[in-house]
Amino acid sequence: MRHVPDGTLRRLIDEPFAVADRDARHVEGCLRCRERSQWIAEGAATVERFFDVRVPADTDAGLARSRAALIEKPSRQTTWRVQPRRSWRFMSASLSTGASLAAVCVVIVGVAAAATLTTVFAPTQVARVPVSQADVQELTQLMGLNTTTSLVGLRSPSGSETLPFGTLNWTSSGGAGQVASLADAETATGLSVTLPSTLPNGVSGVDRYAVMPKVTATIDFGANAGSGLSGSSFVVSLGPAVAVSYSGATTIDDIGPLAILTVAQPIATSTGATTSQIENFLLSQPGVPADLADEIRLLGNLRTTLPIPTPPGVSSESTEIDGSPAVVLADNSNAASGAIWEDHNGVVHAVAGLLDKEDVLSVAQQIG
Amino acid sequence: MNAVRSSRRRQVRQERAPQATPATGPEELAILNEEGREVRIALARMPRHAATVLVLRHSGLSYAEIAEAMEVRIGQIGTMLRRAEARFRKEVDHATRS
Repeated sequence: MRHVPDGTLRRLIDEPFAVADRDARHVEGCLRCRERSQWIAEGAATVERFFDVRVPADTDAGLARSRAALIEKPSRQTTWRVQPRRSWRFMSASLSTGASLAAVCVVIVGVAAAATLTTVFAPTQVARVPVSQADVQELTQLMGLNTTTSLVGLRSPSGSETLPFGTLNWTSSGGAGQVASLADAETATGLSVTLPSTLPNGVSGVDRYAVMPKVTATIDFGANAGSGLSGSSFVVSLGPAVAVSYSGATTIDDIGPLAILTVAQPIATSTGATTSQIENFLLSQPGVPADLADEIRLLGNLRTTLPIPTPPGVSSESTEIDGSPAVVLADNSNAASGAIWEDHNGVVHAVAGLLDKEDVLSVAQQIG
Repeated sequence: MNAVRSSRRRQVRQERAPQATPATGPEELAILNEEGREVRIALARMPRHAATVLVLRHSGLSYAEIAEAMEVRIGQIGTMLRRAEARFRKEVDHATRS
């Protein structure tokens, strides 16, 4: 008699209707398979408990914050969503592409900025926007970006790409790459980078420094963009940026326990079209998910607000770092988290890694 | 001291299972945070594909989605997952004993 393989017994626990009837019937009538199935189920349940670790949310504080936000800004609608339990999905997506949370934030910010901004976009604060993985994929496809290569660390894209409504040209003042020291990184970018003096447990020290020069993306709107935009240009400047990654006990798929990104404020300019024309056109594109467009509109003034996408399964909250508004993202199991904010000098900082929220905030507060 | 902490963590897990109840005290919060750290360390010690399948499954992906993401046949996922769970338990046991 052929017994049911362990893999099928394992799937029988999670997806019983996906297992062939003959295998399910066999397990019902076979003591040996039933015992193995029970043993496998107990092992799975044990592991499940580890992944179900949650730090309970402080709902009272959350409600107080939301009420305060509504009172302070009655014209701005606040949207709260109940996210499905996909606590590791965001992190796993990063793992599968070899990207860090910080890199994801920055690229998405770049995409969001390029997709939504204004005649003169110079954000002075950050705000969260719920998005799904599908949103990100659709946006990157719309913008002609390759998700994998865009998300892996810093890079300096170049060349020209054809968009449904025009052309996208990338230019940069040099190549992205690794440098030997922080001083070299600061010299190469002109940025002043502050690093934490006290590191969280499990983070041993700097692993490497990387720099990205200033990158400019220019969208030249073609005839398909309509009469209001055709012939105008939209220019987004990103960077320069310095990424510092740390080594330590916890490393998954080349992602270290901590990464710190310092990047100049993104700025967008436009010729020939108004703010609302560009915003309305880009947000109404077929590739831009309607929900995401709505969320971005709810932010209000995109001239001064940098949208920070918040994928499902990632909890987010607003806080302050050295008096500047900040968004803190955390995987629901608190195994990975990140913080992003723009300081008073117009420099955007992101701290992220395989750390819990408290450790990330501790690092962020030191950077200020 | 480690043995005492491990014992306490196990006790909290057992008390929480099968239905999780929200912790309220600082001690329990500290234990939960410590468990998050345990998960990270155990995953880091595992082979990459084993850690990946475990993380993907616990992120809510179906077997079909995991197979697509990892570019393997769907029939392999159950076996990969069972082996990954066994390895994960081994790593956690090793960490709590040391």
